[in-house]
Amino acid sequence: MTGYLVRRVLELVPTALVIIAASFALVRLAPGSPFSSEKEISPEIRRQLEAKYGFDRPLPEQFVRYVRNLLQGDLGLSTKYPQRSVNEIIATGFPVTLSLAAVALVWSLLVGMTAGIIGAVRQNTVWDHSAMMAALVGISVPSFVLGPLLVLLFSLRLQMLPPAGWGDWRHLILPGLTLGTIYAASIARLTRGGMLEVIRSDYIRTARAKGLAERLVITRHMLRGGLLPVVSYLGPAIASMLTGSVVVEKIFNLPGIGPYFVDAAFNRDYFLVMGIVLLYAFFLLLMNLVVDLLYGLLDPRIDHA
Amino acid sequence: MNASQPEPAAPMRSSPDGLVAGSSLWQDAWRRLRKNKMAVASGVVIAVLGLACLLGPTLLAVAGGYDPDAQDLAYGPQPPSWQHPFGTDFYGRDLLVRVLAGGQVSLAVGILAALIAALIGTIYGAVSSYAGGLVDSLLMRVVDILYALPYMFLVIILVTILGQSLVLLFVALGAVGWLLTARVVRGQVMSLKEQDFVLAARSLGTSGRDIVFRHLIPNTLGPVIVTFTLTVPSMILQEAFLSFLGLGVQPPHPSLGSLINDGANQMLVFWWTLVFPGGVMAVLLFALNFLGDGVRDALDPRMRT
Repeated sequence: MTGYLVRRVLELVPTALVIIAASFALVRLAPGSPFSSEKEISPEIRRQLEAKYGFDRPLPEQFVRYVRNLLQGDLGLSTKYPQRSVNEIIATGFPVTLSLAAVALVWSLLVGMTAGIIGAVRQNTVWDHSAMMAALVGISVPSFVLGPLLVLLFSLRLQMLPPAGWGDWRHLILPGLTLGTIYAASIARLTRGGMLEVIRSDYIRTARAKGLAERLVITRHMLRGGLLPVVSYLGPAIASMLTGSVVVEKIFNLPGIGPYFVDAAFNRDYFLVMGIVLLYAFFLLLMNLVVDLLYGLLDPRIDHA
Repeated sequence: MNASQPEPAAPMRSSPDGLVAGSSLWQDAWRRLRKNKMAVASGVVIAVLGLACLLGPTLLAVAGGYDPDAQDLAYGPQPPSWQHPFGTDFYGRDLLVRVLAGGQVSLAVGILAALIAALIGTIYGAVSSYAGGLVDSLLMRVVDILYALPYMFLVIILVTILGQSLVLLFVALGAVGWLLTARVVRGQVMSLKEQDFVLAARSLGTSGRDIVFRHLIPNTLGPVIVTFTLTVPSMILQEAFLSFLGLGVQPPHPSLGSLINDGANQMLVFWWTLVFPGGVMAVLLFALNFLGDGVRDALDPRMRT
């Protein structure tokens, strides 16, 4: 297991390098420059600005410098917000985005797995059909439709929750539901499918035969089978939750990292775009690693040796 | 949803000379799909919506002089009426025409982007798998890396780089959406390439390119179609996501995403501006997902979840 872990972490190094190089190339080879979209500036000021950010050097040199700074944890300066470093912007925005994604993840797992278990245990009953129908509806209602509808219902009609903005935990509930529902629906389908795969297998029959209470058969044995597809779905799900948060942050006016990214891409704010892409990419690599390790723990048949 | 009892065998049709006619995989799948009432209903809904979006705007323009883009500020937003079944928007434009025109964009982008994704993914997966060895591991490593990237961010960067034209929008979506197809096709070809007909083709001196394109790829068509049908709704969702952020189809031309964005901003006063575009979007996605599930069940009963 330790050997496997070391190997996986080492494998991350070339992947990370490729991601850095690819995103650098993509961002830098784009037409336009950080200083072209704003109002006209004189060539001298422009040269000075370019010198300040090092844009006057040849690209390979800039790349080496960027990687060297990156290794020291320095993501560079924003060109749009001259007084702020990319590190600062990320430090203020990312916690918001992360807590939003966390609420969404908990919500989707709770609801999704419950619905999936009901569907599998009561297969082909009204319960199953309505749970799966609800899941399909959940998959089909985009977050930018669901979000405004939730605001309309819970904030404006029932006045239970704040409609937008940032303050305490109550500001995270509606955004979390908005972001998480679509994943709850997928998780419900995956849980049901996974449990139905194992529901007729020998070890379930053995568990019942030795007189285990049905509740324990479900939670200890069937659920394990049901969890495998869910766990492997979590990697891509967290990835798309983070990107989906861009829209949800816009709907609910949350000060997360998403709105920065869209602006930064438009303004060719090189370092900010790179910083956010790399942050998310590394976060995802990490999550995928955790998911793979979890997978091995859940299914002892998978040998990591 | 679908009963998971084993499907009854295909009804045997006797031909006049007493021989039993066989049924091909496709006839079999078609029969199974037709038996799935919900999938058939979804197909009808998609056909009706598709026709309405395709012909509606032109018919309404010719017959009633409705123009999706012409503004009439004095007229302003009006609630639904006989003259304007979906009401009118803030600029006095008929919402029904705008929703239909937006649906046209959504369907076109969804289908074309999914086609591009299927094309790239199929060729990539088949070539990678047939080449095998080092080439295969390298190519699949690329897929793994792209899988780990927050790919909506790539699309956002691509769209801001390439400019906001409709063609580039679906190229960008298709260019990053092929990963799943590549994996599915690779898995299929892995087992196909060991089979005798490939050996036979090779012993006849068939070139590698012909084996891949004439023998292997046609045999992966089933799973490719299944992936394609489920990719269409997700592409439509992503186009709407981009338009919602203001990165997709540009005003004054409508898209379902930008209509929903407008509606969400004024839902308190003019509820119809959110409800109708959002409702059409949800119905469209629901039907597409349902049909996709039905096609999957029909073509490959083992893939059923």
